[in-house]
Amino acid sequence: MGKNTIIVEENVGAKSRKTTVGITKFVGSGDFGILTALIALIVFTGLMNPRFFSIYNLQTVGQQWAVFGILAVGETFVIVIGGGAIDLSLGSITALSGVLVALFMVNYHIPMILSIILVLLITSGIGLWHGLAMTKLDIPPFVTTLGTLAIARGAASVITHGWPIINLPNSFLFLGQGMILGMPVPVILLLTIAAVAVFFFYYTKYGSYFRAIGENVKAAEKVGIAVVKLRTITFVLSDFLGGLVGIIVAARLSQGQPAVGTMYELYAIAASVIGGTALTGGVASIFGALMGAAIITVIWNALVLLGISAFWQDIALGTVIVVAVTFDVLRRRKNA
Amino acid sequence: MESEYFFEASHITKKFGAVVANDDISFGIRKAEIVGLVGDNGAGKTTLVKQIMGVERPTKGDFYLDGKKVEISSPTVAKSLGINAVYQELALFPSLSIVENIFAGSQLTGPLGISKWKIMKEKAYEKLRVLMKDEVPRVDTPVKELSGGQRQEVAIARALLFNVRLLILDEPTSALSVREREKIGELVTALKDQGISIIYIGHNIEEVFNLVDRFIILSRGKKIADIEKKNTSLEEVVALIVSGGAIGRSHLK
Repeated sequence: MGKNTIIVEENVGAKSRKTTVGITKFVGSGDFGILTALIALIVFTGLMNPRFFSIYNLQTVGQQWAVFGILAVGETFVIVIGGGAIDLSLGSITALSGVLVALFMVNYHIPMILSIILVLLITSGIGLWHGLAMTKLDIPPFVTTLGTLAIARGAASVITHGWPIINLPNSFLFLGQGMILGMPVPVILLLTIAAVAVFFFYYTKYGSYFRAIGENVKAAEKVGIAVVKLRTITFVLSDFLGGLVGIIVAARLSQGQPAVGTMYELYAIAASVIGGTALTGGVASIFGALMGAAIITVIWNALVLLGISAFWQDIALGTVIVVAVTFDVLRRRKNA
Repeated sequence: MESEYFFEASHITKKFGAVVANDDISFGIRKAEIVGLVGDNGAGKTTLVKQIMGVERPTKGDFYLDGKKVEISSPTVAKSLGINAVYQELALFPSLSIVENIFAGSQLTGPLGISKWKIMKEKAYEKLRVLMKDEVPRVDTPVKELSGGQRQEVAIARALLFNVRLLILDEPTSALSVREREKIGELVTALKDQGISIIYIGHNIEEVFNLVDRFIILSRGKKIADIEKKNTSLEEVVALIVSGGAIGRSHLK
């Protein structure tokens, strides 16, 4: 009995020591810094305009955070594999996806679930093209995804002749406007995706291999990591998530709108970089990307609440990106 | 009659466009033998190693293991055959932890590709404890925080992870201090004593000469000599390398 007690005490001791080490590690990490910045920003915005904390506003912020957050997770998976990997098409894919899902349901009377699956297959297919273009044809992702940025946006406009597709089924609108226990459905989708992404990134071999490829692709090939397959998968994941965001946005706006999602790719990249992802690949944080997306959303919301012109939003975002990347480069240079 | 070699390369030729990097190279490796693979820059050593490891495929020629032809189509296949390599630049990932580096490309996983970190950490620690003897860093330490010698040991630990029969060491001491070089030398001898065969590539011929049992000398993609150490001298090996086979006993090939 006495022996058992000692073992239990030892185990508890080891566990609490481990927890302390974990907390210390987190406090010293970039993730903690970004979380602190987010809290400071929220406090500042709330002090300037207490309406920030109204339930309605928090729900709006949540819905927008979901959009940027899901895109940031996808973008993070792409950027981490390195070799200049980036996905510039996410904003246009958002528009195309929203238009297509509306088109399928309203014009072709395809059942909702089937329409959603079809759209996700199409955007994943675009991701497959981006991935194969990089891995098999050696075309820089900058070029292919920039091409899709123009093509997908153009296609969305051609399909709709520039007009939104309306009269979407009520059950579909739940995906963008619904609440479960006061929490917007998009936020629940974001948290689910984040949980899957965290699991994938930290608890399976793939996360480790993605970072390995991003850091030293030649070494990754030499140790037998399936570089072509994994690099391709990240683009499929990213554009799958872009498709999902398009569906959420269409449901939120009650229409398939070809003009939505402009510059969303930039928001996604910024969120990812603010969250600690190195644009050179190899280093990334899913938690950081979510916090980065939250910061961008709060800035966006604060500018609205503080009555600052929408034109300033792009200037603010651009400044945040440049500052975040500069800090990131300086920090890495210092650590090198 | 059974061959004395457990591993054989037969007429290996590798072309990159018009460039012939390896030209009809044949050799064998005995069990528990250290073979020095030497030659000037551009002699074709690294290309040959890449083919043995399945990173590149030969344009012509075959490999045999225990007398049977083997298709080494990838590093994973090479590892499964008991062949592994430590590369000149170590092929490490500085931001990744020691355990992630040791198991890079060969993680132990359960369903859904879930990493078995606990088992991998134990195995990584065990391998390092044998190699490092003195101080083993925590296996979740990022490799960028290790010294040159420790990084080398992590790379070797990775190569020894699975039952290795043939270990290729490509310039293992080029970035190391004198003490660290000695340690690698001791390690190579210890591995030989365990029955592991080693292909040792090095530029410092004197250092290689002290370690190996036999030399295979390449020049401009061709094998120009295959000599037992006991039948040659340091001077002759150097002369063969420098002259590209024009001076020395090239009839020994």
